[in-house]
Amino acid sequence: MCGICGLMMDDSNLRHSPVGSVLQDMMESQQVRAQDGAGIAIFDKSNAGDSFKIKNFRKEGMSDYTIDEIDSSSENVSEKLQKLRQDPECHFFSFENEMTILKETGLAKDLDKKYGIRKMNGSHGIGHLRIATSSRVTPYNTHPFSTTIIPDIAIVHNGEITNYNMLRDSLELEGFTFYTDSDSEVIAVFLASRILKHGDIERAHREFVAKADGPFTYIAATVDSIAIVRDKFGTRKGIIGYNPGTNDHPPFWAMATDLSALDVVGATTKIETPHPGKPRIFYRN
Amino acid sequence: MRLNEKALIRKSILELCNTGLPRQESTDDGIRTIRERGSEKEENLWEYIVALGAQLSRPPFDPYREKIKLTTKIGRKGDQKISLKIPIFIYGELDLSQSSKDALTLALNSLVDNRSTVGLISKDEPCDERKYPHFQLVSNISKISDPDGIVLEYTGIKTEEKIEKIRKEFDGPILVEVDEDFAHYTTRLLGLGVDGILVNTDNITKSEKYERKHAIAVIHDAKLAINEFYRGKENDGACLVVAGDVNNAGKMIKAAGLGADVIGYDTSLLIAKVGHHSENFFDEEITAQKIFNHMIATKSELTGIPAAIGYSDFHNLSPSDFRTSSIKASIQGDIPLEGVDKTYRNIVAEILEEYVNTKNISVNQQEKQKIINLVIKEEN
Repeated sequence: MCGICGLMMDDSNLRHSPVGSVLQDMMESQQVRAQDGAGIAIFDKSNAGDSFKIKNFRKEGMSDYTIDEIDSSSENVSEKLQKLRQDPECHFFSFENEMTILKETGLAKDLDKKYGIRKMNGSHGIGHLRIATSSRVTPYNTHPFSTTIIPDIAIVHNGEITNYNMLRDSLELEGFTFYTDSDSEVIAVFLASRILKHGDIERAHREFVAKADGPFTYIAATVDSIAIVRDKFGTRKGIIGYNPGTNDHPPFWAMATDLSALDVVGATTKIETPHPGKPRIFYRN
Repeated sequence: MRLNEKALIRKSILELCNTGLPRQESTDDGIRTIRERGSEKEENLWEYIVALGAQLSRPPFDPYREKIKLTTKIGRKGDQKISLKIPIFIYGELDLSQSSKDALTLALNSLVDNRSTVGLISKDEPCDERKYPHFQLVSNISKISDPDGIVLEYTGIKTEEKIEKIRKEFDGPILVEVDEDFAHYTTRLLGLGVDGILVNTDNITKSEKYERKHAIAVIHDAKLAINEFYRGKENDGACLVVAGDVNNAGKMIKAAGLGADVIGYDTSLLIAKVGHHSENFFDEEITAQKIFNHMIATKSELTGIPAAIGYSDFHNLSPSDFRTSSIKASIQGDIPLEGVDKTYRNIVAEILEEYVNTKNISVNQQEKQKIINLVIKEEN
């Protein structure tokens, strides 16, 4: 019973949009759903550049961990990633350019206290509240999940990918690396592998829905898109709303598990439920 | 069907009539015992494999409300795929009487009409009235007569030459029935454009190579052989057809979990199951109806079991959905052991890793694999 949320600012002047603050409100309003972990991914154009950040948990444990941030020029980033894949001690965190991922075990308000989520700006973002059902309560099993295949892709997920083992086996056979034992990671790896193959995000989502089994809703964000996707039977919730904007913030599309999350941020117009099995995608202006 | 197998079916029914008590052994298992008599295979490893039911983190589907998918496409080329609504080929080398063949044709056509298409693999020429896909089993390629698919028996390098020839003229799916050495040449076959391989576990477990192994080892190894071809690339749909010791829904589900895409259902057993009581008065329509009913019942079981495990697609079953209490089954099928949720191979690997670390011994990955294989060979 995890809680997920996401938003996309509907504005061309995206640099100073208060994405962190809106996401934090949406997460805290859904805290009742899950309390084992909280995490966000925020995309900010002003971070874009030639260097990448590779974050990596170095220690196992509930809270005792460190994050290695490696600034790499695009020339040697492949070499760094290759080393990471071969390191059995590695608990991969994220591969970032424009994107910033922050995640912790515990509550959403503690995540904000530690990292100042409310002060973060950007164009779009996603958030997650975790209740651990199938893998351990650790920071590296906390969402959002990212991959080393391509930078700036993040997913949050509510539900179960029941054929996770089969999908993971076939992706590993294709040569892609997994870093956790969470079923959610397979979504990120699958989408990234298909973006690498044909570059079409909508097709990648459709292919995932066709292959994935079980009850799920996920929100996935790339540099210029955010999508909410429900399983083909629509067995997990998901709702979308629109906030027309005020003097304090631009208009935005918001999506979440519970209606309460849309209510708390005023995204109460153009309410819709994504059609089961059909990705609903919003692109950055 | 052999005479002693036929006698067993008759005997088991008479026994039931005389005593009114449930039998100790199913008809399938009785036939299996006869077939394996004289060999060292005493354990039926199928019985040591159980499916993990749905749970909190993996809720079941309702097969009445939610559509459970059984459809299987055979063929790697987009527009040449053959679709089976039930992942079954009626398959066997038996010389059926004309009336049995007619009953089978009637039944298979009715199944197509009821959106439950099942395929047929046989040496016979495909009949004109058929609505179902007929894969012709051929050894002489000059005798191919307009089938929907072809099944070639692997007889060595000449088969590969035949495939090259057929592939130039025939666009439909080509399957190859392989022998016990499939691991050596499956990659080559798939490279030649073959659409899948067919393993008959009854035949292969009789070979020296699989002498002390069970059908699950054959299925597991055949899947590995196909996967080897796809290392580093996306699978474009090469399928694994498993025939032999898979003649009930329970075994079919377990075989699917181990990697089977389609099941080859023994023709003789099918006819025996539905027609054994009416030998003196064989009515084609009644027999056809019984075959039809039997297939529809099997379809229900094939949809119901995955749904109860938490799948809406039969093909999503994998070894991790099963547990076994047998070390042999764990080794041969790479199935996790009950209680520890790890395969026997993984347990050996973990113990070795710990030992190497504690004793501070320098052993590379290749050497570790050699040691693991040695330990496993001893246990199997």
